[in-house]
Amino acid sequence: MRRLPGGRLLAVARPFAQGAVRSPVLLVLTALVPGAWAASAFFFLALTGSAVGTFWCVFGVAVPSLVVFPRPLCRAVRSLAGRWTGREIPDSYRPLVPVTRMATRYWWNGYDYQRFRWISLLHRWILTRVYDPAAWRDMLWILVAPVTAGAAAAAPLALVAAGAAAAAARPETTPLPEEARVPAAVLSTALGVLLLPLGWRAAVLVARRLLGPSLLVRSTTRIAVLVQGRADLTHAQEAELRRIERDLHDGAQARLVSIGLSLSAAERLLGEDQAEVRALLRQTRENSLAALRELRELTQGIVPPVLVERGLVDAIRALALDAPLRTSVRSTLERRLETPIESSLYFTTAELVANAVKHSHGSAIDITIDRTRGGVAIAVTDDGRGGARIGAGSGLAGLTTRLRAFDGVLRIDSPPGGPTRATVEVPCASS
Amino acid sequence: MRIVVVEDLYLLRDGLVRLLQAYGHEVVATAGDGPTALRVLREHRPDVAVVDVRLPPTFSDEGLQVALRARRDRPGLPVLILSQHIEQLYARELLAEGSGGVGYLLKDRVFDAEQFIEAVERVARGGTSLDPAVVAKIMNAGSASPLDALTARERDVIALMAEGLSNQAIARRLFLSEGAISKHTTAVFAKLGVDADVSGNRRVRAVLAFLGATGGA
Repeated sequence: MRRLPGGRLLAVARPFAQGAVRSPVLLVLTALVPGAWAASAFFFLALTGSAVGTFWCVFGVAVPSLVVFPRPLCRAVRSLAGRWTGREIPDSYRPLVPVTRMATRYWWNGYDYQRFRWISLLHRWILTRVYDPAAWRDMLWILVAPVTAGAAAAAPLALVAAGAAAAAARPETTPLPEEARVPAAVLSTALGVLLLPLGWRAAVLVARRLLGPSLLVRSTTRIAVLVQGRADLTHAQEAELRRIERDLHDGAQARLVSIGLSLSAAERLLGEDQAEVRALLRQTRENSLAALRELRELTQGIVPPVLVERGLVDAIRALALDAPLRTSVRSTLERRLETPIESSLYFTTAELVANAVKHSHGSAIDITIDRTRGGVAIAVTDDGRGGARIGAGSGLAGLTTRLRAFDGVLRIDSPPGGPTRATVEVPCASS
Repeated sequence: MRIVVVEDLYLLRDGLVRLLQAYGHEVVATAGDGPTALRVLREHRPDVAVVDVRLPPTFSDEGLQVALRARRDRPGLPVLILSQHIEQLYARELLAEGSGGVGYLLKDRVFDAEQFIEAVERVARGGTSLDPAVVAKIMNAGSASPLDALTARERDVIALMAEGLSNQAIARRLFLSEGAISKHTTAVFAKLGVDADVSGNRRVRAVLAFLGATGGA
């Protein structure tokens, strides 16, 4: 595509144009409710001046507007701010309890039983706006926004407007001395234009602070995740220990008993039946070989020896060499990581490679290991048929659980027809 | 033969020394950790060293690193590596410089004393001895472009060659005549691009090509 000659200019002008659009949008969204109040107060007090008017002003306009408007307005600000900055502002509303009919024929809405469905719905609608802490934060935003976010968004517009007004005003109506009028107009407009890209960003910063989940909500969510993670971890650990115990009990221990029996039998037969002793000894040797093999498989499952000896990258290289598909490994990781993280990443990668071998129907696997900001990312890509997803009961769901203990995440990008790219990311400091 | 044994576990070290002595070899020195092993190897200049992969003080692949360093000091120093597990990765590193005199076996192989001693002697003579487990892994792994050109019989032959068997031994194992085997080995050399006119051990270089054949990392 040929670049337009004005492209450079457009790129420079873009933030200012954005500011010119976004600032008024934010101004309107933040000033709507107070504006309505001011208008109604003006109408009732200035025009009627009656006590009834004041009553209506408070209970007819102010209270309902604090119940009705905050949620849609706040949703709009969140969604716009998310779209403009590319970083979402998550909300923290309590999930709505579906209105369901109980055996008593009454309707349950999460708060109370109601005789009729529509009353139950209305009741829930009102109560979610009263009892949900997030709703109160929304109200707080409605009250605070005009003097914070709204003011920040309005400042550049006000400066431009003031400049324009000063330039257009007749000399006798301005308080400014005539020789200062034009420079003041120019200065004000220029300052306003310069502030255009900044004003709405400041407003978004305030919105992020007030409209995002509160510290309490964030901590509660975090605690829930940690509790779940700890439960998963304890179960996984217990299951692992039981598996090891069973393997040792049925494997190596049984072999050693059998070796002892054969040896004592051989000892008894020594000097009597040479052929029988020979057979017993051969059997003993085979048994000890089998015990060794079983123990090797067991340790491979606990911690692969190559991981202990060489660390993550070489262990994954060794894994790649043994894979039945052509597998390449690229790494920018230079240092060893904490051993629990190495283990977890190794087994996750092994599982992803095994999945690719089993299900992808592809011919090659590409593994990349990269240091990211504050963590490590491993991507396993195959050239197979795609269509993989994290579903209940699948191995991938198990991996997600395993990674949760380290705040790790697994992402699967696998469109039908392929290729499949599985990315594991774990935050960590290198040791 | 003069042999150095490097193994940290006393029982195993003792057992290895006894086994080697029983077959008439002289164990000139033993070592139980990496730094001592390196010193002993430099001092005694053995005909072959038998080295465990995992050693103190780090309990990582200290033994392998000692062997590689000793071979850099003294190229071609015959080393037989013993380990509880077998990795293609290590096999490649051991064989990377292309001179022979390298063995890489599971510790299990000492159970068959005769074959083990044979492997030690073969490595001392400059041959190779790769564990059947690593050979099997190579045969099963990924796409192996140069190996694809080989016939099934030739693949059998190169696999046994990697284990370190002579033509005679391969012939016995595959129930073929020695002449047939030598025809197969010639074909294998040609297909893997191992020319006769370059100096060095042709069999070792064929094994190296075999190891490299899996491409990979």
